Amino acid sequence: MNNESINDEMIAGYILDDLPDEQTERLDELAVSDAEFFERMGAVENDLVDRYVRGGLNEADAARFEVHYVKSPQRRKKIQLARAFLEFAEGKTKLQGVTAESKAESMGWMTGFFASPVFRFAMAAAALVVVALAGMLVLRNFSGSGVEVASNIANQGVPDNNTSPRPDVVEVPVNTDPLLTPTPLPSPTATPSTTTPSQPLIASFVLAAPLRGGNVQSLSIPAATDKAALRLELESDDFHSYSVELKEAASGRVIWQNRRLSAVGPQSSRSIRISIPAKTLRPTIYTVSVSGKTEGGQTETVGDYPFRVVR
Amino acid sequence: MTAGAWDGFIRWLDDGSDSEGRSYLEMRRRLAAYFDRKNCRNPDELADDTLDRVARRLEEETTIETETPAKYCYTVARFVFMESLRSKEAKSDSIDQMSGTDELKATAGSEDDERDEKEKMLSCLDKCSTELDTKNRDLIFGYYVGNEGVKIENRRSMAAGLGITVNALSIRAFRIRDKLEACVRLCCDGK
Repeated sequence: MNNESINDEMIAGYILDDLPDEQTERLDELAVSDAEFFERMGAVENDLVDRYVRGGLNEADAARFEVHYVKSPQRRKKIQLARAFLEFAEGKTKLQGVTAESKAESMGWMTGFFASPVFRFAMAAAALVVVALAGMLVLRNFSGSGVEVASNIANQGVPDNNTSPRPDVVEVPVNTDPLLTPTPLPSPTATPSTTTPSQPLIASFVLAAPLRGGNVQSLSIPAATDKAALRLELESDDFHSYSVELKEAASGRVIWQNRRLSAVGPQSSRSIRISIPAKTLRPTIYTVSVSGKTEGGQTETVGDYPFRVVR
Repeated sequence: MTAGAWDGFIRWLDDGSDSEGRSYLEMRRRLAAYFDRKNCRNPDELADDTLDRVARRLEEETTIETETPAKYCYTVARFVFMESLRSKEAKSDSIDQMSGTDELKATAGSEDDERDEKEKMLSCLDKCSTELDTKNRDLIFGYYVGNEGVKIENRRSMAAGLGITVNALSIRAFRIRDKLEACVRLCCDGK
């Protein structure tokens, strides 16, 4: 048995004293002689104890845990520490507005609609159209109000709305990480005598609200992109106006928001369009949270649109 | 053991690097964890016993070249463990006598004691977490957000954001949590 063949499941079995003698002896030796393995085992042990504390172990593992793991005073102390740590960690992340489960739950009401065969057929057809148009649009340059470097939407002739925030909208300061500082784009023509302004490069994407448990959509944003234009498809346009927040999924930090948006497009496919400075988008998972405001001023959650940025 | 022999032992454990004694502490910790996993009642004492024997052997032989230092420590530890099993037959030297749940019931304090203990831990966690730098604090609490599938996806995105593998992230989180737990243990002991 070499180290590459040792997976986390085997390490968990070792911690629960549930391996054959030969494997146990091998891992005994590694746990003492190999510092890296010791740390890896510690990480697996933490996860195992946390799952026990949260009631997430299957029946057999939970039984094994309670027969074997809790025997030692040091390990019982570890369980106590894990309980306190998880409670403390959850309290900390709630203060930051992050609860991963609340994000998952907010998508629950869409499950019925998005599971239907009609929707799935429509999505498959839309995907084919998108692939065909993506190829065309990547080859376009220097037309309209910007250079579109990537897109997954069809040009329906609907004018963009709300691409810049209105005075009553708060634009959250962008990440000041120097690694994200964009390099200036070269002007289309290099001769000093020309006055042609350089045109912004725009990457356009369509986001459909995902199925529960489905894959998070990946958006590939080319390096020189200035703005990422997102079209958020709506199941129905039920509100007077919409508010949109873009958050980092891991930390819950809001990095962009706009509170006065209207839906656009034909009645059969209403959507909200937003435009985000590309330099604010790092290779990580984001969530666009949409809420609607009624004429009476009440706010209701519309849905979350998670996506992963790939660069 | 003479000071010279002790220095020689530490240098041998360092195995070419200069850890300023950290390799001794690390090895002691790994040995104590080994004996604890074997349900030995006194894992710290057995770890010390193991290192004493290794150090004495090194002093007698001046060098041990058959195995790496870490591997040799394991070999001696295994021998020490076997000895402790034999001595268990004469006296109760293992916690294997009771099942885990019986042990839990036997050592459980009152509800009030447990509540007090937990409150103390939470207070110590609050104090100890402020001693972490912001980056590590954000990492350690973000790492444990969510249940199962959501947590896994979250960790993948964190690793991608940091430009490291998920395994490397798990090691980083383990080290930070380890440091935090050590601080909490000291704090709870009133140190």
